[in-house]
Amino acid sequence: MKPPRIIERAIYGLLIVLSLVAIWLVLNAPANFLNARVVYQGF
Amino acid sequence: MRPAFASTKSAAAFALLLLVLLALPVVLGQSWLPPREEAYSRQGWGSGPYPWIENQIFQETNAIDIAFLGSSHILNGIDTPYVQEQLSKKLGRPAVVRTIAWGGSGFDGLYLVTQDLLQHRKVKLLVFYDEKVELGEKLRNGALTSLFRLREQVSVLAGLPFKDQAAYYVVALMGIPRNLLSLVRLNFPAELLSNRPGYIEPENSGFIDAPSCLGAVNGRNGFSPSFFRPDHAPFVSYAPSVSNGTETIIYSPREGAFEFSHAPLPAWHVKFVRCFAALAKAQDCRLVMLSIPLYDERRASVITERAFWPDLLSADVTMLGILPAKMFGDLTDVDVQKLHDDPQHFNQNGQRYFTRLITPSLINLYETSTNH
Repeated sequence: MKPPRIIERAIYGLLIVLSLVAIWLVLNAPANFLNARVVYQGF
Repeated sequence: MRPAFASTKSAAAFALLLLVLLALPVVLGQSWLPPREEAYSRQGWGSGPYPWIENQIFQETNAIDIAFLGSSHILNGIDTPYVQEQLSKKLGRPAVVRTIAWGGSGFDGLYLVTQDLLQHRKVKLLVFYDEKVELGEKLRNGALTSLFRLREQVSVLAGLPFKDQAAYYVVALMGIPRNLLSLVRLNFPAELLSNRPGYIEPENSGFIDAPSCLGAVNGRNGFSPSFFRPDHAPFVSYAPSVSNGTETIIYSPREGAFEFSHAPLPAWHVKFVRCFAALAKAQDCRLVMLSIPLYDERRASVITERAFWPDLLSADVTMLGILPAKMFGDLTDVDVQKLHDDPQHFNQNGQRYFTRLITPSLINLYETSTNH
């Protein structure tokens, strides 16, 4: 059974917000942590 | 076009997964963090002598008379065995002098390592320097993902701009996979000395001198014009005379040797260095801020600082430095290059020369300002 349209919209809305938050967090992170080599060293 | 999700249920599951992953630094409690030692033991030798640092924080227990803490300038700049020898002579007992330093500048790293050190060992005099971030404000110490754990450090972030708080949140988030792995199995403690069974030759051998030099490194490189693109000249042993009237200067209001730029510092620098100073004060640890001259400052007739540190830190910090123009006064540029690994760091020659110049003042400060 398909969920009500409002639930469907809420889920996709949440997904979009979370994706935007994740993208912003990555872009705002210290730049060297986006460098795979440094990330590897950090781990 | 094929939809991204087969059903609303799978979209909801993905959103939940994303939410849980993003919230992990908040959701995982203290019991999900491995012992603090693991933050150091997982570093290996790659970006600093971390096996030595771990040994000094978690295994050695005696009080330290003078500790030099900070990133690569102090790591390369101090001939620690010499300071220990001179202090021992002066005190008439074996003194304990240590360098606990790493690669990658920033006051955040300084605060986090100092916090661990002072929790485990008494330090009477702590020498540090201005941890300018030479790689740019967007770059941070590579070890932060293990040293910064949100649950333990959340109070430090209070009052920081939201963007800085978010940056440290990501740092904590990135450390979680390895923290969880360390819960499952602990890291092997690295052997400090190459003559011990189980010693593994590190890929980056630049830091392996540290245990035999009380934490300092002995850079035996000639000068490279760039730190980022190393192209070193052959190393030549060189020792300028230290009896040429060069004196270290301790800041006093009547002394015109220091110049302060007062340019605003990034909020996170100020926050972490203030927390660092408060920590030292709470542990009755005397602070000395040492100005380490750079190659480009070799003809400067003043000691330039980014801030008047005692005011900025609201702490009793002694500022110590040498006028570069006096330190390098009679030397040609080629001679000054013989003292440097690159424009930012001393090599073994520079380390020995600089240490011999500052040691009398440091010993004097130790004697007059600590309860030794």
